[in-house]
Formats: sequence, C-alpha cells, structure tokens
Amino acid sequence: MKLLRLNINGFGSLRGEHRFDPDKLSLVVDDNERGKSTLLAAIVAALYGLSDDRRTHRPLTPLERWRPWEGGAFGVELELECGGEHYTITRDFERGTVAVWNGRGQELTDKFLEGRDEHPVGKHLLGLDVDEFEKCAFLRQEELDQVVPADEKDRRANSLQARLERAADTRAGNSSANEALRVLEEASAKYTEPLLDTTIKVENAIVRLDNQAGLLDTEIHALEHDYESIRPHIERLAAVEEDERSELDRDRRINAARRAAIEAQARARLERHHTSSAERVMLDQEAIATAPFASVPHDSGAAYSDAVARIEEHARQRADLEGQVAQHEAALSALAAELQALAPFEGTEEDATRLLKGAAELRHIEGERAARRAGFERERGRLAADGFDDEAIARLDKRFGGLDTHWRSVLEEQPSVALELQTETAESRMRLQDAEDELTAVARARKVYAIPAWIALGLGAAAAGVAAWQWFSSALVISWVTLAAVAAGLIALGLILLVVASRTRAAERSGARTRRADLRERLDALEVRRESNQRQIDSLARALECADAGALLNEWNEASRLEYARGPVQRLAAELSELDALYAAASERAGSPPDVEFLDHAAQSIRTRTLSLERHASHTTQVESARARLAEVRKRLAELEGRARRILETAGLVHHDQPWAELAPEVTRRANAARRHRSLVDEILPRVKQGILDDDTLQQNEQTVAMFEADSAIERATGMIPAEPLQGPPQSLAELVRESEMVRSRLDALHHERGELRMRVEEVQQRYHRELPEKVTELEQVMRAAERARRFKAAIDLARDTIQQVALETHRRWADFLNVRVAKLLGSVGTGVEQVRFGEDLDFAVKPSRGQQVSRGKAVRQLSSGARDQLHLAVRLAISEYLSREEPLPLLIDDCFATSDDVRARAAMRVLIEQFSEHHQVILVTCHRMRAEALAAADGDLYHRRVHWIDTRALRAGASVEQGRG
Amino acid sequence: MANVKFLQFSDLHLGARFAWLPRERRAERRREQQRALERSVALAIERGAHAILLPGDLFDDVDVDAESLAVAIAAFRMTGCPPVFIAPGNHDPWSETSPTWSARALVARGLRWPEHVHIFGTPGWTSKRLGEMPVRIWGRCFTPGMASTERPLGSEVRATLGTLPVTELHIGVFHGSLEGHTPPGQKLVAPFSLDEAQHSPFAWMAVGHYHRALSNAHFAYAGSTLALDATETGGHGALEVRIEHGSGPVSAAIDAIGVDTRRAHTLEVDVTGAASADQIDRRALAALDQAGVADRDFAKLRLTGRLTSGVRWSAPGEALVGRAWNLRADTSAMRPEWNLDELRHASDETTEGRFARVLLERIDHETDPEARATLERALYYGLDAFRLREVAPMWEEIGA
Repeated sequence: MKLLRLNINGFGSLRGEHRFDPDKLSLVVDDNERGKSTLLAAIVAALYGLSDDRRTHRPLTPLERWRPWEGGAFGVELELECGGEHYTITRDFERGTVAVWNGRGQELTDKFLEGRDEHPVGKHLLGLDVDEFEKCAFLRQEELDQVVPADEKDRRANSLQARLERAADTRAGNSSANEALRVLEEASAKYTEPLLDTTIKVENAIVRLDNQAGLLDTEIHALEHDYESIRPHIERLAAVEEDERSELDRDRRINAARRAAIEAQARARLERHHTSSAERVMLDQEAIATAPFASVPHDSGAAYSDAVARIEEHARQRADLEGQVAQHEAALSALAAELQALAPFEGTEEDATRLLKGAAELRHIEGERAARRAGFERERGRLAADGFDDEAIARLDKRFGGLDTHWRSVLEEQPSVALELQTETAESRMRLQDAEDELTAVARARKVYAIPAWIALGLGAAAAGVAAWQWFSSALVISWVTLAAVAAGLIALGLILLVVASRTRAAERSGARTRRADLRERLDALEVRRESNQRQIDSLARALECADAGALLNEWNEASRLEYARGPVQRLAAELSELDALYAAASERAGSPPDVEFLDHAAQSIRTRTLSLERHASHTTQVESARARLAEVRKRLAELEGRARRILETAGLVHHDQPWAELAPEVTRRANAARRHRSLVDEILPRVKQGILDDDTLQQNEQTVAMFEADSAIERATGMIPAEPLQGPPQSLAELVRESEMVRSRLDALHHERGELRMRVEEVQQRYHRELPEKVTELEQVMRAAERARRFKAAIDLARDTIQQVALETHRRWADFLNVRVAKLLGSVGTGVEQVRFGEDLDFAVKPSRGQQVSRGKAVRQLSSGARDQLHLAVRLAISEYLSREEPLPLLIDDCFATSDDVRARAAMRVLIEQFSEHHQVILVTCHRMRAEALAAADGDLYHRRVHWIDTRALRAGASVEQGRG
Repeated sequence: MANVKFLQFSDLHLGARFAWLPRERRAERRREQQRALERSVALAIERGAHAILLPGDLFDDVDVDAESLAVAIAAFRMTGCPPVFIAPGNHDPWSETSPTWSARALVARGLRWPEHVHIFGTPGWTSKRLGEMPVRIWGRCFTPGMASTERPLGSEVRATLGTLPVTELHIGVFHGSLEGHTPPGQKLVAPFSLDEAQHSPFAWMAVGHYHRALSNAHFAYAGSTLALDATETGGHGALEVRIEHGSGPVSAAIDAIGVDTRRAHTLEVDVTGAASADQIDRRALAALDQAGVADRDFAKLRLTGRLTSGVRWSAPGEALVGRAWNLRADTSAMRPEWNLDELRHASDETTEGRFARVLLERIDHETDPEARATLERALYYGLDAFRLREVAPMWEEIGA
C-alpha cells in the first residue's frame, strides 16, 4: 500500500492537505505538540474510520478525541494505491459518512461495507483491522519507552514479550495465547450452575451433578422397587376381591337355603303335629294292654337266659373235673408200682453221669491198649528181621550195657578223632614243606651277595698280607700303603656285601622259620594225642575181652545200630505200661466190678427212677387242684340255680323238674311286655305328645309357611334371579346357620385384609406417582446440566489444547524469523548487541557485543536507553515486516530515535531508508528538526534520493506543503 | 339413509409429566388435561354423539397415577355418556396385567370401567356392535412388546377380515402412523399408507398418534386434545364426525371442536445486531406481540442469528417471562458474530488465526454431529478468550 495524499478537513489540531512520495521515506518534521502524531492518527482514521463505541473506549472514544478543537468540519480524504488500484477515501466524521472511489471514478463504498454502517477500508485492503494495523504499522514513540516499564507489575502486564505474543497471537483481539489460555482456565474454574446454586470448577460441578444424578437415580430405583414390591399385594388384593365376591355369593345362597330350611321346618312341624295326634290314640291302647306286666323287671328275660346259660356251663365244668380226678388217681397207682421196682437204683443224676463217664473212659483206654500192643508186636518182628534176635541183643547188652559214660564217649568219638588227627597231620606236614621251601628260596637269594663278599674278603686278606709283606720287605715295586688300601677296600666291600646278604628277605626268612617251628610242634602234639587214644581203645578192648581194638570198634558199631533199631519197640512198650496204669486207675474210680455194660444199665435206671418220682409228684399236685376246683364249681352251680329260681319268682313262674331252659321264652315275653309298657309311658307317648303343637305354635308355623309362600310369589312376580342352590348334600338349618356365621367371619377377615392391602398398596402407589415424575424430571434436569457442563468442559479443554498447540508452533516460527531479522537490523544500526535469541515463548535473550548472553530482563537493564529503543524498534520492524509480507504495510513511525545517539540514529535512519523504504512506505514524524537536518547533511545523497521532507507548519497555516531536501 | 355421530378424541396423555414446565405449572397443566377429558365427554353428550371413539394414548403411561385413572373412569361415568370405544395406543398398551385396563387389576384398586366403555384388548381387529344400531365398531390395541411396524391395514390383515357385511356400517378405531406425515421426533407405529386407508374394509377410521389434526375422506386424526409441548402449535381438541350411510357411498363430515384453552407457539427471534440482552428481550416481546401470543399461552423462543460480541443472553428477562404463561428459549441456533468465513480464508499467521483455521478445518471434516458441535463450541470459546478476554458458558445448546 502506498499513501499518496492526505487532505485533512479538521482532525484534532490539523487541517490542510499533505502529499506523500510513495517511493521515498516521508520525514515529517515539526515542533512538539504541533500535531505530527495527529497526522499519523488521521491516516489511520482515513483507512479505518473512528469508533464511537463507549464500551471499548473509555472515557473518550476516538471520535471524540479527534474532533477539531475549534469545531467546524471534521473529516479527512486519503488517496492511496493498493494492489495496482487507485483509491480515494473521503470520510466526514461529523456526519458519519464515507465514500470510496477508484481511479476510474467508480464509487466502491458498498464494497467496503461491514456490519450496518462501518467501512474499514484498510481491513479490506490490508487484511488487518484497525487494531492489527496499529500494532504492526504504527510505531509510537511512547510505546518504545513503555515496552519495558519500570514497574514490575506493569512490566508483567505490558512487557515486550506480552506485546510480541499479542502481535503473534491475535490481530483482532488484544490477548496473547497465554492470556487466552488463562481466560479459558478461569472460565473453567468459575463455572456457575444454577442447579447447584454455586460457582465452582467445572470438573467439580460435573462430579456434583453426577452425584446428584446418582442419588436421584437411586431414589427412583427405590421408588420403582417399592412399586414393584407391591405387585404381589395387588395380585392378592384382586384375589381377595374375588374371594369376597365368592363369599358374598355363598352367603346369599346360604341365606336362601336357610329360608328354605325354615319353611321346610315349619311345614315339617305341622305335618308332625298331625301325625302325632293320630299316633297318640293307638299308643294309649297298647299301654293299657301291657300294664299287667309293668312290675316285671325289664331285664328279666335276659337275666334268666344268662342264669340258665351259666348253670349249663357250670354243669359241664363239674363233669370235666370229675373225669380229671379219676385219671390222675389211676396214673398215681401205676407210678407207685414202677418206683417200687427201681428202688435198688436209688441215686442222683450226678451218680448216673459219673457211671456213664467211667464206662466211656474204660472203653477208650481199652481201645488204646489194643492198638499199642499190636504196634509192639509189629516192631519186634521187624527187629528180628534185621538180625537182632534175642540172643544177639542179649550179647550186645551184656558187652556194652555196663559201660559208663566216659567209655561210651570214647567209643562214640573214636572215628571222628581218628579222622581229625589224620587230617590235621596231613595239613601240618604240607604247611611245613611250604616253610622249608621258602627258607630255601631265601638262602638262594642271599647267596647272590654272600659269595662275592667272601671272595672280596679273601682277596682283601691276601692284599693285607702282601702289604704287610711289603712293609717289612719293600720287595715289590708297589707301595705297601697302596696294597693296604686295596686290602681295606676289598675287606670293606666284602663286609658290606655280607651285611646286604644278611638283610635280604630277612622278614620272610624269620616268618618261615617261626612257622616251621610251630608246625613241628603241632605234629608232635597230634602224634601224642593219637597214641593216647589208641592206648585207651586197646585198654577197653582188653577189659571187654575183645580180640583187639578193631573187633571192639566193630561190635560197638553193631551195638549202636541195635540201639537205633529197637527205639520204637521200647517206646511202644513204655506207652503200654502207661495205659495199663491208666486202666487200673479208671477201674478203681468206676468201682467194682469194672463192667461197662452194668455201668450203663445202672445209670439208666437211676435216671428212670428220678423221672418217675417227678411224674408222681406232678399227678399228686394236679389231682389235688382238680378236687379243689370241683368243689368250687359245685358251690357256684348251687348259687346259679338259686338265682334262676328268684327270677322266675319275679316273673310269676315256678321251677319244678323241667329243664331250666324251657321256661326262658315265657320269662322273656313277660319282660318285653313290661319294657314296652314302660317305653310307651316314659318315652313314646311323651315324644308323640311333643310333636303335637299347642295352639299358638300351631298358628305361628302356619303363618310362617304362608309368609314364605307369599315371598316366593313376589320374587317370581318381580323377576329376581333366585340364588343358585348350594351344592353338596342338603344341610340342616343349624348347619346353615353355622356356615353362614363362618362365611360372615371369612367375609370380615377378607374385608379386613382388603382394607389393609389397599391401604398399603395405595400408600406406595400414591408415593410412586407423586414422587416419581418429579424425581425423573429432576434427574433429567440434573443430567442435562451435567451434560451442559461436560460440553462446556470439553469445548474449553479442546480450545485450550488447540491454542497451546498452535501457539507453540506460531511462536517457534516467529522466533526463527525474528532471530535472523532483528540481528541483521541491529547489526546495520550498530547497536551493541551481537545476537538476539528468541525462545518458543517469544521471550528472548540478548548477547551484547563483548559480553555473555543474558536474559531479556537483565539485558534491558544493562543496555543504554538508546540501545534498548533500537532493540525494540528492530523487533517491531521485524514484526511489521513479517506481518506484511503479502501487501507491504506503510510504516508510520513516531520519533523513535529520541534516545539514540547521533551515530546510531544516523545508522538507524539509513536502515529505514535503505532497507525498509524500498518495500514499505515509511512516514516518520520527528520534532528533532536540527538532528534531522544534520543527518540529512551527513548523508546528503541518500536523503536527496530517498527522503521526502514534510513540514507541518505549513499545514497548520492551511496550505499544502511539499518540500524536498537533500 | 341413516346418520351416526361420533365424538373422536385421542392422545390426551393423561398423567404426562410436563417436565419442560416449571414445577408449579406442571400440576396445573395436568388438571387442565383432566378437565379436557371431562369437557370432551360433556361435548359428546351435548352434541348427541352415538359413541365416543378414542384411538389411543388416553394415558401417558400404562402405569398411570390413581388420580388420572380415577378421573378418567369418573368422566366416562357422566350421566348420558354414550358408549365409549378405546383402542389403547403405544403409550398405554393393553395387557392382562395392565393396572389401567385389566379389570382384575382395577378391581384391586377399587375401580371398574363402566359397562358402556369397551376396550379393545387384542392386537388383531375385533368388533362390537353399537347398541341396536346397524353400526359395528372395529378396534385393535397395542400390547407391550408388540412390533411397531405391523401394518394394521395391510393386505394380509384385510384378507383376514374378508368382506364385511354391508348390512352394517363398519368403523375402525386404532393407533397408527400415516406414512409420509410422521412429525419429526415422533415414533413410527402401526404404519399405514393413504392407499391402504382408501382400500380398508372400514367406512371410516378414527386414528390416533399424531398430535396435529389431520383428516381425509377415509379417516381422521383428532390430534392431541391438549398441546403437550410448545411445538404442538395450533388448535387442539376433539372432532365431531357425522357419517351418513345407506344405499349410496358413505360420507363423513367433520367438525373440529377446540378444547385446549391455551395455545402453543414456536417463534423465531433474530438476535443479530442486538447490542444488549434487553434488546434481545425486546425483539422477543415484539415477536410475541406479532404472533398474537396471549398471556395464557405458552411459547418457545428459537433464537437465531449472530450474537454481538460481549453480549450475554442465556434466559428471558423478567418482563419477557411475565408476558406468557410459560416461555422457553432455544439457543441452539444462535451463534456468535465471529465471521467464520473470514477466519477460514484469512492468511494471517497469528496464533488466533491459525487456531481458528485448525478448528474450522476439523469442523469441515468432522462427520459426527456431537464432535462437530464440540469443535464449534471450542472455536467460539477460544475466540472469546482471544478477543473479549472473557468466556462464559453460552454455546452448550449448539448441536444439542
């Protein structure tokens, strides 16, 4: 965008027209308070208009601020070029009108209309609204001073970082990303929910609302549960209603039945009355006929029959007993004879048992004796068959029967001793031979050393002799000393060899010699023992008159074989002897004579006698008992006959000789007549009389019947549905009354139950229908509120996350650009700053020339005010440059070098002129006229080519001023 | 030639919760429902109707409160009340255990429908003759768990019914949805088409379910007897149906009778450019006046347009609230004045601009409505934070 001409028709203190050279830096020079800043404001107003919104501009709106002080016209006209098009913007702030024309004379005002009546032309042409434009393109002097305020609080609020962030983060707004995030955070932390009636964090609000919803849900479930739980009650209630209806129907039926029963009863009474009246006549006649027998006991017939029956029974018993007595007496006679015959065998059962036991024992022993005896004979035969007849046995018994134990032992051991001596002798001799062989081997081994030893000794002795000879004679050429030495050596060698020979296998030799001595001693001892034994045998042979020891030993062997063979015979003989002794003892116990048969007979007789005695005693007892009972029966029979006679007397009869039973029918007939008479008098006639109604009762029953007949007629006439008859067998009136009472009782119970159930059901139903809709509605409200809160939280979280993410990237991009651009600008100006490093948060660090990199806060304090302003100017220029890369922004700069020294001011101006005015239209206003002139003089050619001087004194005079310098 | 006259009403929804109303208004509206029923029965008596036809949703729920049930039964006990034919609808389906319809369950509560009230208790068509008149009323009911897509006038059902004897006038009473006319948000139940209605075996059909009156030569919806919500605008009440039948074709004449004493209104209020909440209220008042909303009516205000930055409006002000019996505001269509198109096409590299573009791009690509609404809300709150330095819950109804 290039600004060409500004015509001010009243704007603050300014009026008049001003033209700008679009290709040069416009340097507006004037004194303080003369309106040079107003000029820049007028340009902005021409581009964007003036706001009159009191909400955002307090206490003075821009419209009010720039209203001409002297009054009059209030407007501006601006000509410019943008995007290859020429525009003329005319604004009359007094009237609130605006007109935009293009270079071809076409009005384009409507094209720039926004909202109802706003025409932000600058926004449409540059893409920046007024705030954005001022932030990027309008560099006010005071802003440079205020970039880093002295006060820490202000510094925090308006620090350069914050301004940079704002510039980076927003055009339309005035909040940095951090501020926006804080605002979002604050909104999230101060969430107002009317249902909760409080302002709290949205998370807490959600939790509370969820809790509230949970509580309501629980209450609703409780209500539903209660409601569900009464369903059985409702079912029961319906059942009770049905039961009640059924019972009512039953009651109606019972009432109908009862009425029918009453009617039937009345009819029955009337009928009975008539029947009883007729019956009474007949019964009176019968009573008269039976009156003669009235005194006969009514039970006479039965009593007489009973007495007769018992008489007959007792007569039968008497005959039986008499027969029994006779039988017992006959048996007693027979038993007495039997006992007489058995008198010799008087004894007890123990005696009989003992006799039987003795007989059995004798039989057993006799059997054993026979068996042993047979075995004895059999063994004796076998012995004889082996050659041991009685003669041989006697001979051998005679030979060896008298030997004592010692000699028997000698004879018995002789074969084994002889074998043992023989064996040991042979073995000892063999081992002796081994020892001899070992000693021979040792001697042979020693000879290997002994023979050379003796040779050496011999030679040594010879040499010694020669030496002695030489010593005495010195006949030989060899010295005697030499010979003596040889002799000594040979002798020593011989001795050594002898010692070696003597020690060779010395232990073996010693052991062999010891064994040899021991074995020889053992052989000697065996020989002594053998000889001793032989002597004993020989001695015994002589004593027993045997030919020799061999004969003795042969006979001894024969005797030994006999001893073995006749063992069974001797054993059987011993057993027979024992059995004989046992038989003798048993015979003694059984008594004499020891006849087994007799013993059996005696025992049987003793037992028979014992049984006969018992039977005799039994019959005696029984006959006595039968006699006693017979006497009793006879006595009872007499009593019964007396009783029968008395009954006959009461009935007016007498017993003669006829059988008692013959009189029984007559007695019975008379007793029945008496009973009938009493029955007529006492029961039947009174009962019949009861059925006869008195006159009043008769009339009453007749009226009852008539009344029910009339009711039935009315029901039939009115069409009433008669009650269904009761099912089941007909019931009496009393039963009906009882059932009616029971039905009414059941009805009362059902009624009571129904009342209670209905009360319970209605209470729950009412509560359910009263509370549930409200609770559900409340739950819905709470859930909606929770949903709202969740939506709010989700939106805030999303906005926050997105801003954080985008801001980080934005700031990184900005930082990269600013690092390069600001350093370059500062280098051109010559500021003592070597490097500026922006962080991702747009805070920056500064590295002064010849110094360490320091944080922004420290650097701002360390830098001079000029260097600081230059730093801030470079940053703003870099920002403007960045933001206007599509359409170059005009830069409106208000005296930004006031704090710079001449050198840096000159350098900075050169930067503006050379680097910025090429691409941006730069309009710089200053009150430092002399410095500007000096700078122009110093760089005359540059200023001449690139700077357009404007002096506003002329504008105040109302004229258009254009002045070129340089 | 003979005439028969019916009074038809339905969808009274006795016992409805009216959750959208403030607590004190709910009970009042419920009493008005009860009075509407009594008034409808009285109208039938006054106008000499031969029968009352009630095609469903007499009650809002099958488990209705005792008072509503007792009022309904008492209303039909009114002296002179003609025979009543009720075809239970999807809100009050018939069942053996229904505390509303089951005679046994009613007895347990000490209640009993009058003898002249006939309740159709099967999902299939059954009929009952109207007194001594040559008129037969056919009906079908909803039952719990019944398939709502079953076609009551489908060819199979017609085949089952066969050809009805011409010696009688056959009237159908049922609860169902005329296809193609289902209001937004209303459930499609027992659907039937115009063609099916035209070929039905009945001379006339009283249909329930739709809350707005609708009729043609073969059937009529009486609509809800009372407006149940502010969206149910227009008149509400009963229909007097006069049918002439004899040798010629059957003809029906319908008179709508207003019963509801209140009117429901739904109004749009454009908030664009309004500089304060008061201005918005004033615009709403003007809209109410323009629509002729009476002070006993209830209305729903649908706020549209762009809300000026910094203006906060979340509920009607006091003056606006007092203007009608009940007012509700719907802010789901209201948006802030941020120019999204401009933000979408801007090329500035500020965080704000890029933030807006990131979210707008996500909005453009998001298909899930709820996620889209969240993105939109995040965008507005972010812009509020950047530009107004103030964020207040405002946009939660977007997409709700």
